[in-house]
Amino acid sequence: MKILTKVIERNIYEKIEKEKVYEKLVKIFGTHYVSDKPHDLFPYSYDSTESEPGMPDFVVIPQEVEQIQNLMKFCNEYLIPVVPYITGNNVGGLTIPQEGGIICDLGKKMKKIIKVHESLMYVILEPGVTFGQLKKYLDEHHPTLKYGYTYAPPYASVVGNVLLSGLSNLSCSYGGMADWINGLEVVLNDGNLVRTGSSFISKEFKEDNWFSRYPIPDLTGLFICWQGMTGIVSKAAVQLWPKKQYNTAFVAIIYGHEACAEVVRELGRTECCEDISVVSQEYAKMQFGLKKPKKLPKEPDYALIISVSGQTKEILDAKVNYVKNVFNNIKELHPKIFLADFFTFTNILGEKFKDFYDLPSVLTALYEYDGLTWVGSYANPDNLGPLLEKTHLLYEEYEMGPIVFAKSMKAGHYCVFRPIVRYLKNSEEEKVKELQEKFLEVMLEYDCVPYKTPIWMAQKIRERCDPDWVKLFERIKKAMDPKKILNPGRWGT
Amino acid sequence: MTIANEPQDLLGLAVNSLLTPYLKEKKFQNKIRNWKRKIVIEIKNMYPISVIFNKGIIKIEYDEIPKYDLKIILSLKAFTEIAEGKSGMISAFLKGEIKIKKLYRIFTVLKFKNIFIPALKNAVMNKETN
Repeated sequence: MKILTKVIERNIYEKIEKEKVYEKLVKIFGTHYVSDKPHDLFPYSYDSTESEPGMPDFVVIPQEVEQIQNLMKFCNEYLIPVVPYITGNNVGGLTIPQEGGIICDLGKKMKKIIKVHESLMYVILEPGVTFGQLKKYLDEHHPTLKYGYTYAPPYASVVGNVLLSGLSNLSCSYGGMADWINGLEVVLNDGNLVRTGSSFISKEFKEDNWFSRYPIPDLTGLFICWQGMTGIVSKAAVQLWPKKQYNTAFVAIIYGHEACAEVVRELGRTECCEDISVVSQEYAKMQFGLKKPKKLPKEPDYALIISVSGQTKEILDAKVNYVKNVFNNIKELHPKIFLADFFTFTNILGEKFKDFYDLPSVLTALYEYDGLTWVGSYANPDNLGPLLEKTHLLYEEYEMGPIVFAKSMKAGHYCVFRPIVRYLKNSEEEKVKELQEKFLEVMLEYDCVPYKTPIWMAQKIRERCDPDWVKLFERIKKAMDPKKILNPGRWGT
Repeated sequence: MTIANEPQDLLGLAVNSLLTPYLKEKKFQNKIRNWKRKIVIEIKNMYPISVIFNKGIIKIEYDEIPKYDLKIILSLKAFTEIAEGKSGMISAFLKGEIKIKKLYRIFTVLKFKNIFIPALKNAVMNKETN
């Protein structure tokens, strides 16, 4: 049986009584959209990771941006922490309150797709719009446009993903998801509302001027990867892409860590692949319901899912030929790599493997246990071989099957590297914490930059990164949130 | 009729997925009811698995078992081309893309062909491609 997260009495209601806070919140949000009841607060107090749980004191569910503005004005005056929350799928404990306060749940009622701009190819979204919702909407109303989807479930937030610079199945072409942001609407610490990106050019909100982040100072960056420490994003304009008519996909079967790295590097820079995703053998087999899959000695190490598309059949064929040529060149150096048609392969192997391609989908095997965590990072593709090798050794040392994921990003400029752990929270948490720390050590040794950084990880990064970066970071945080009320405790703040 | 074990390797899982839909078919059941053979399938440069037919019970084991009755060695390319209907087992054999050990057991070869090739083609031919 799950035991409720312990409530810690804090000194944050010095300037106003807790009961008065409740009354004020009810005034802003209405009785039905405020709660201080433990059973309502409990789900916000933990996530699937090893991050320490922490209870909020209240949860509020806004529908209008004015409500968030009023909330921030009030909290800024009375020094009450506010933690923005959307769908809770970040796998980093990022919305677990460190100092109590108020969870501002943007995922329940702020779910409007405000505008799809067909000719300028962007969509303005509220934070609660999910991948599944957006895909359905585009397929029905704008079939010539597409968005990129992740291995996150369909009920995860699009805005959460771009703000944390996640990835998608178009990232090999178009990069990390923060690059797709054209602009944001943000409620600042004092309740002021600001628009970043090209939409700043009009005094009033307009739907038609969200086409670029530049050529102005990039204030959008003040809110990307800041984990809600600088403001609460109430709208985001994100890029869409033309849906190409001709599509195909391949599976590459790979023996060897360095061979895998070479394929990721070289196919990435062909500029022909929309996606190159790497899954370890164990990850691939997990999809077939094997409880604790292990790679057997003669089995390959990795499967790569590679997708290619073209506006015409001729363009697609030309890209496919080029990809095959490059692959065959790599094969001369690394003979134990094989390329097969993805659909043939999955039809033989079984439908479940298609979940890696047909996104968004729920990779059910990832959620087999109550614990799921990772050390996700942006990595130098030249270091991918040793990273794969060293993390495999750590998995072996801790007697856990390597569930490794990697992806070529932005035509091979960088890659994503992510060792994943599924585990039983009650019995394996300590072991997993230790393993995570060892993963991080290896990854920092190879200059990986962790993303969606939990608190313990941010602390380790701060200890070894450029101290002047930390000073600048703290100056910006202080300027944006002098009273330290926005998701306090993140990144050592 | 049943597959007695859960394969733990990718190729074993594939063969499991190919044969499972047939287990309830009478025609298939008749084919294997009294059949007792050990067949090794090896994807060239990858690894072999063994499919053991024992009077209606099938076991799919990782790696090559000793004293097999038949061994088929083919490349991944030949494997997928047969599945896609681009090539047949006999033509692939004649082109050297399939090698067969203990070919003299011609009835076993033919029975293997009658069991596996339709299963392979059925898995791929009438399904989504792209």
